[in-house]
Amino acid sequence: MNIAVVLAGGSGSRMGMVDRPKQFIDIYGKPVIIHTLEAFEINEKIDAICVVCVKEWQDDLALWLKEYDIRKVRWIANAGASRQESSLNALDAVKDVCGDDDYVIIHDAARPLISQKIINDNIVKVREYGACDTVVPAHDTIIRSVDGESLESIPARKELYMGQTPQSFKYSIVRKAYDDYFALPENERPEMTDDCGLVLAAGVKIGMAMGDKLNMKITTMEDLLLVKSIVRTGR
Amino acid sequence: MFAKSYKITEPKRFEIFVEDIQNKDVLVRPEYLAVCKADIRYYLGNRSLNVLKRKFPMSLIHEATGVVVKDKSGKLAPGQRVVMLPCRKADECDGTKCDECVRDNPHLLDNYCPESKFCSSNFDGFSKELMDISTDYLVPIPDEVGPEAVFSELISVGCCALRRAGLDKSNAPKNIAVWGDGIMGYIIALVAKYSLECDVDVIGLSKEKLAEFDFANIYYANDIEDLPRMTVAIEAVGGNPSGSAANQAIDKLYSGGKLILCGVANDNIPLNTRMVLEHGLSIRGTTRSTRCDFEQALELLKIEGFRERVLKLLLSTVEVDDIKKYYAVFEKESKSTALGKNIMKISF
Repeated sequence: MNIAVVLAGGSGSRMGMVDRPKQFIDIYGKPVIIHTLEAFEINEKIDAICVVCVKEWQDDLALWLKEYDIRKVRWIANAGASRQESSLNALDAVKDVCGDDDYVIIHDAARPLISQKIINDNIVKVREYGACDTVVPAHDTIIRSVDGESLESIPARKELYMGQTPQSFKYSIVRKAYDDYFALPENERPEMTDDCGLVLAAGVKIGMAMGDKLNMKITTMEDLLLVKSIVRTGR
Repeated sequence: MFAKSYKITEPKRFEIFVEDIQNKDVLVRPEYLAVCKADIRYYLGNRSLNVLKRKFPMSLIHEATGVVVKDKSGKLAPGQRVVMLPCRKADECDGTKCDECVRDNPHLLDNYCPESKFCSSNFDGFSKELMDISTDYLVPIPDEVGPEAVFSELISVGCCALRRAGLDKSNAPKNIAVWGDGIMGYIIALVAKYSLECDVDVIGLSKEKLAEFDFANIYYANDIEDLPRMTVAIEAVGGNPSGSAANQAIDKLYSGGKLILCGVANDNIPLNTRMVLEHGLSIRGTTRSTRCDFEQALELLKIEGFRERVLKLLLSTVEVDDIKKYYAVFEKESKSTALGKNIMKISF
């Protein structure tokens, strides 16, 4: 069984908006999250979807699911205070139907341009490795700076990739990584920006599925402009 | 939902577009694509620049199969493999007949409506991650037929040629002659052999290609003295040489015979109209097929011998998951002189 987990717990604070988080912004007549959910809805390998959503938007989400005929969403879980808490809530929500050998494909709601190829490649890789990250090769030179004012180092570009989502895991692997993480006292938990970081810290080898530059995350107003421009060109 | 498409924006230039697909009918994921000579003409820019400017950007490919993702009508199950028909009825047609209406003409049908559209000609083709298509333009593929179903459009053109000549098994002539040793000639000859069950004589120039026509009697175009005369001749040469092929056929047809033209010539070609008049010949043009022809094509593909011979045309299957590989197939096909096609299995 392959379960998609779509994380829609963000606040959109980096976009400066006050009325709604970025994943609920409308792009040409449809909320971003619906565009994202449609990609998983139509993928024949995805059996069910769990959406992690901020409480105050869950009613709107339920209405949209009906309006846009999204039928695979079986769970709407509460967003947590952190990404890790949100992912944990999703893992808890699906645990009754998800066996150890089933897979979860965790994706940001704010990446609406995800392709079917990326989803399919994730499913292939996660079955091979047990854990898989979506990446794109770094085409720009990456600069490392510690103080934010001067260069510390320039890592070799050929070894660098940009991480995207989905990040996919065998349920037993990601479950154990989360249980171990949350077993630590709060002040001893390392800072993690994504699920792969947490699973990697648990010593699991993670495969790479090739992503796509178009699978960008809408984080800033500039990103929104880019996504809308891309879609407008195709209209 | 968002989905990628590849479109030609100028000769030898494909670009990626993202389209917002509205699911009104059947959501289909194109799977196997085959490049046609018409696609190559656009790719190489072998049309006037003014014509191309009006058409571009446009997704190419009109020979394709796909997989049903979602059907709002419930007629087609998810996962059902389908052939996608390239012709579209006129948007403006409200069902009332205009002076040029061909809808009820059994020889012409909707395909010859001047306002109808054709994928990869005056309308987007199938180079897309996802498409929304009416069930009118989808024909289910039988279980026993594999990727070779991508040749259904070509086969349907063969079926259309015979249908438009008024031929079926009940009135099949003793023999039928097909000019052309390319893929179109091969397919039309094969369709004639299996659907009419008559002798098929094929006239061509390439000894190597003619050797593949193991189901037909073969003749070299520069030596047709022994070619039996016939009541039906089909020209499937294409290009400017279609003129000399048609004239050879005119010389060999019995009085009252029929000449079916299937090849597309680039320029006007001279025809021996004196012989056409003397022998009371009729000439009919045919190119675009319609739904009933596709249905017949898939029925023919269920026949093992027919299917095996079509499979000979499938030179390779190239997995295309990015635009570089898409370019590579067009480059390969534009240079190919082989009898067959390198088809694409796409996942953009």
